[in-house]
Amino acid sequence: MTGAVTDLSAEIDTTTSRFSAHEDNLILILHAIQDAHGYVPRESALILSERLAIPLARIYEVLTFYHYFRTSPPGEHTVVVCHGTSCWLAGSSKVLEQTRRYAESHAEIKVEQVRCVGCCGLAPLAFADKKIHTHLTDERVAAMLAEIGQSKADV
Amino acid sequence: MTTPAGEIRVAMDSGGIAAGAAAVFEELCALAKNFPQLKVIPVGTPGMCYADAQVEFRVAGRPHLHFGALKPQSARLLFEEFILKGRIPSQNNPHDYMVLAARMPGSELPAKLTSIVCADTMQRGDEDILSLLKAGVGPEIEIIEAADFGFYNRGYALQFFPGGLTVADLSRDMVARALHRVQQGQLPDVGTVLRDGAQLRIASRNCGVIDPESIAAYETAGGYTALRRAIQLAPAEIVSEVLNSGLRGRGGAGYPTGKKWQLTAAESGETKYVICNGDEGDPGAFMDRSLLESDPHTVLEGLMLAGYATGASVGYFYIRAEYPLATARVQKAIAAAAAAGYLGKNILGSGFSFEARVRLGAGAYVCGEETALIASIEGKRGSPHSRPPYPSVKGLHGAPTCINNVETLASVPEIIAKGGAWYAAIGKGKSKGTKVFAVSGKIRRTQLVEVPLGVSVASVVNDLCGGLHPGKKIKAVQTGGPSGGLVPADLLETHLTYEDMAALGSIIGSGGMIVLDEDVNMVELMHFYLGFNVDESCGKCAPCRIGGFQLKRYYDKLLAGQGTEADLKQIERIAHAMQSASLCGLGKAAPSPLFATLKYFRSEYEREVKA
Repeated sequence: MTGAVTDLSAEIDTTTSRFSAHEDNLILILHAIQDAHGYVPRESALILSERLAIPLARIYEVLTFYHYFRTSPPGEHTVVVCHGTSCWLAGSSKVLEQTRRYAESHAEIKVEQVRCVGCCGLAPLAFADKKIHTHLTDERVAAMLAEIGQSKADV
Repeated sequence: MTTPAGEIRVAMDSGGIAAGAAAVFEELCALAKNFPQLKVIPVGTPGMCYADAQVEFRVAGRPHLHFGALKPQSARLLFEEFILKGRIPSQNNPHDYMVLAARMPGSELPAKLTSIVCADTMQRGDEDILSLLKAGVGPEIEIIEAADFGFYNRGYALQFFPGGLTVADLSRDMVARALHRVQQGQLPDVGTVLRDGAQLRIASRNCGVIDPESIAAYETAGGYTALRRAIQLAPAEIVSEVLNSGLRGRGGAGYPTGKKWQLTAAESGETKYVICNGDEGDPGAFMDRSLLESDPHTVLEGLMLAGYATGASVGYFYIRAEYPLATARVQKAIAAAAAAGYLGKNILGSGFSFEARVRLGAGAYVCGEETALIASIEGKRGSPHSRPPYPSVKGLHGAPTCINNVETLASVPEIIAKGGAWYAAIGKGKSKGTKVFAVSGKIRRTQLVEVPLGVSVASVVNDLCGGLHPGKKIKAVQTGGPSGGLVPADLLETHLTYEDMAALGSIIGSGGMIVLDEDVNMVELMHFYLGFNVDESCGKCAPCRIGGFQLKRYYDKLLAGQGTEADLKQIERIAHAMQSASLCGLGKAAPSPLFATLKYFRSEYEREVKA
């Protein structure tokens, strides 16, 4: 555990050194931590609060306010379904439903939604582990989900 | 054919890339490797999102065309046939790719006609324009049918090459005559010879035209001349140029940009800030994403001009975390501009110093509100606070701050380069200039268009975007996102001006235009928007936090078939309370689409009410 904390501590130092260690940069630093871990670990937040000399609560009020930040590890695989208005009109509710149903029996998949990624010409769309799938129909959703299993087998 | 020369532009915005443009780009680069005079250039989006992945071929001796829905195989086919062999592949399978006509008409008559690009812009489907033309010319003339000319409801359209002369409004009987005249070297005396494109592109003038990651390309297109011109003038002169242009905030509020600049400029104080609001949160809106990805230097130049005019030496881009490509391109643009001496200390020897920084959003709709945006840049929760004090007096770190939307700033360089009076001559009444709209939903051609303010909603939806899919009828156009309103089908002739839209109880908003057909249930739509608002309410003030939640519960009840007449009255009461008592724009405007659905589609509510 001590070793892990030291690693994290060094990592936070590297991260904060990329920005000036000022609380103004808190959101940018949290982005960098999430990019590295897929979420913001509590240990990282603790170390960060020391480095920036701000209370932990100050970090968590920001972390929990913004939809983009996660405080727990993402699933092994993540499917993000766009649920903006254009995607909704094109049937994203069905895409969400189908994906959630599939995820019920696949614990390694977490399903999330995003409010519009601005690619409305490709609606409805989703990202499976950051790979975009567009113009989704029942069949294409099924293919997208099956592909996730595939890449897992590869690993 | 001789060695091919010219330009191939591949649309590499995030929409294009999502549709596979990167593979198409690589394929074309590999194919063009042996032809030094053929340049393959990555560009942003030319606007026709429905045709991603798309390329534009501007090859000497060949008709100027866009091709869409491409894959590497079809791009290769087109390269080999269309460019190298000098003929269009026979269009046996129209599903392989789309052919789109050039957006701008040429003005020259062909000395010797080689190709005709044609379309039935009435989309009748049963009219065989190809055989009509083939009957009129010999087999040596190439005839290419395009799926889209960028305009609709103008009869047959023909484009003649070389030259690109374009004629529209042709009836069946006029086609032979138009052909004959052009072959005789005369302008057609039937139909209409087009002089201008169907759109007027100012903010988006470079989108899909230049490489967004090349500062040299931007300079060649006239970039940074506005900055050079500005630093010869006093800041107050820049402010008055923008005042004279009549430019108003394109993010939705429509506040005069020059006035905003004037207020910040009038503040004393060593430190001032300018901010580019790129937190494009309305779902169904992609104007700002497209501008930032396709022409980041224009927005950056606009921000520098705002800085110069207001006396700010630091500018921030606040960009949604959901737009990683936009962020990367803006960062690249800042680095390139700094290296070229457009940013930093004593810019171009003028004594003006300016630096630009990027801040990321983190998924909070409310951060589009300016006081919340400032809090977010300071690394805090994006909670709005009541105004006054306005940011122009007390903004970022308590200093005077001027916040402008991406599209507003993108319009500024052209205004400074060509003058405020030039811009003010475009538009209608108090709504000057052009506006970019992102048209999506149940529309045939989902795309980005830029038009003069004052054109009608119908002309954008029907005449530029081709209306709805065959057999469908339009019910309404939703504008301004979850805080906007509705233009019902029978009011589609409404002019797109701030005033006309307000009179209707709607807004132009940031420019998202979502087309709804008769299959859309308005109560469900409103339920969807309320879900959005409940998710996005920051929770600081009770009217928005509790009101939105209560409203959504009533809609749940309505859609479960349990609603009553009394519930409808209660919905209106809560909505009024939210509208008048919420702290910021999010809560105040959240009920706007609700009122619009009640006003124009009350019968749909009554249908949901328990008998």
